[in-house]
Amino acid sequence: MLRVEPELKAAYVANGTVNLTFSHVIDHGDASRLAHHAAECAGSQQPLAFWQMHDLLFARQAQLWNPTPDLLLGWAEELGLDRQAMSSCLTDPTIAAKIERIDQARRAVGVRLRPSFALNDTLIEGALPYTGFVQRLAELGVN
Amino acid sequence: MKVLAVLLTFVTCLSACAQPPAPTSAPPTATTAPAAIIVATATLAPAPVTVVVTDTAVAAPATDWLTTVSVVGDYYVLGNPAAPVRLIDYSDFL
Repeated sequence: MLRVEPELKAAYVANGTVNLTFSHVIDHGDASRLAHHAAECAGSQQPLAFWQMHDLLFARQAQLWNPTPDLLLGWAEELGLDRQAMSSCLTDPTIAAKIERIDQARRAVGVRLRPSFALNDTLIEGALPYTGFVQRLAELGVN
Repeated sequence: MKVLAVLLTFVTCLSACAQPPAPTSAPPTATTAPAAIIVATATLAPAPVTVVVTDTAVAAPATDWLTTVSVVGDYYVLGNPAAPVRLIDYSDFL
């Protein structure tokens, strides 16, 4: 996760000058897959819930090293999502295929390191402080 | 003779008083027609525009981009889908 994401959201996403896309990177095998799967399943119920689950997954990252479907079903319920639909979705092969497809897409554009991000078509690898984002965005005409 | 004069006066008065009173106003057609034109003109002329500014008219609700999510291909995009800058975060949750 971008460490500066909350600041970027408040300063740029909120005013409509920047939009944010999350692209799955599978770096830790099945544990990663299950976490990404949970985010996708939340989004399949409500698009906004993808981002709510995204925030929850990062906030509770320490619990994700040995995740269980039951743990994630409980989190889905916290977000007001349908547990039964979530349970079915967690074993949906089309969602698993989508996550693999997204992971392949990031490899195709050359993302090898984390964190990595792109501002429009410019790929930037490595951490960047908030001031660095402000400078890059200013170069794109966004203040 | 005197009686005859009185009778003559009476008869004269009867014929004169039988005449309808002379009109004191313009004929009805003269007043009705111009009035109709005026009304038509007033109706066809552009009505004056009065803009009333109120709080509800000015304060259009702003979009809450932090709760706006669009589905673009395989991705859930948070914020203004027409924003000039697209930021992609490539991350694992672990």
